[in-house]
Amino acid sequence: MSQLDSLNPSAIPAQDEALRQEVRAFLVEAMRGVPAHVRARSWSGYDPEFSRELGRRGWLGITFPPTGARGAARSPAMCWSRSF
Amino acid sequence: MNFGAPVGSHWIADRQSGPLLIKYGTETQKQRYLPAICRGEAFFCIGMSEPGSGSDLASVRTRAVPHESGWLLNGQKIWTTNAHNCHFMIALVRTSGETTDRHKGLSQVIVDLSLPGVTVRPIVDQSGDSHFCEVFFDNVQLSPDALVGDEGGGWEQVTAELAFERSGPERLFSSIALFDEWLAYVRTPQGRTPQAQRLAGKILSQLAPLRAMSVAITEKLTRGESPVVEAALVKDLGTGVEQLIPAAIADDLFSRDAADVPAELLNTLNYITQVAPSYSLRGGTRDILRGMIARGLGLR
Repeated sequence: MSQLDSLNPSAIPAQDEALRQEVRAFLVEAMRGVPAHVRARSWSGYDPEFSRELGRRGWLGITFPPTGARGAARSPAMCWSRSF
Repeated sequence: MNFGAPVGSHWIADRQSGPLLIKYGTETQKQRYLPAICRGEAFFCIGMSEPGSGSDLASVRTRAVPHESGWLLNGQKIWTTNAHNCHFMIALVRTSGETTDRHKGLSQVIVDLSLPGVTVRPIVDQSGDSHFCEVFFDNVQLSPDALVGDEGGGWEQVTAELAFERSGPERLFSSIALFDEWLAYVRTPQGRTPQAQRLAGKILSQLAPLRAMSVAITEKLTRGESPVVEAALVKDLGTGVEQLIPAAIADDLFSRDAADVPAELLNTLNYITQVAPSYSLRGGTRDILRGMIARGLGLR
């Protein structure tokens, strides 16, 4: 048996694809005019205010179960797709 | 990351520390940390590596001993990403036994980095940034609920946690801003050459299946599984492409007339070239990952 038998092709669910467009529109605006050598830092780039803005939009902890910690429950597949 | 947004402040809490607390944390810990993580007000770092204990995590020497109903923490972490901008660290520490006991006696504790006795010292890297830190603990008094999960369960918890760390987009997309900037140049009449078009196809044909593998692993994580070997595969292959991108683009650009190459593209190449060696060190070196893959295949 091949090790890769355990990796089944999967897709991002339709409702998450919709949110992806919303995130994409926000990012296009937020990153407009930022030069490539700065964008290259990305996850080595630290901007608490940007992180709080994502929080205000409900886009942090998007994979967390709605145990009262936050309102909206989203599909965990967003864990991946939000970055795109 | 695809847009190069500055995601470093919240990334680790969002990707790793939050899910860890959801899986192993007490109700009190969840209520205390998760809402703050979701508001972007609690940033976390991960205290694993120590001087002399990088890839061989089982040899960590930082120690927490029971003290005044809580824990007294002493030791040192190094190469901790973003510690100087974080509020909390989840640290792998020894709570019993000796380093010769290896995996036994390790636990995970949450350290409030504002506590007395904690010193965070940024390390300036060759790109001029301070991305990594040294963190020192000198008699840091932790509260009883600093312990995450079971005492002595640290090794199993860390192993499960690393599956989150090894399969996400940050293991495929670290060089993507450079790739995009170069593609934009290759799309211009001046930049377009048959060699560059072939290279673009070669890189894309590697990124696409990696993305599919990463999504497949995300689905397994979603179901509560720990696809440790699969995540190691994706990270090993992913960092390979991430390192191929600056090397191949450098070959392409430096085979051209220097006056034709946009300065910002070269700036971006410079930065990525300087950080690219770290891709296959952080989050598990290439050698460690290949050992795990070999074990997964039953070869060792």
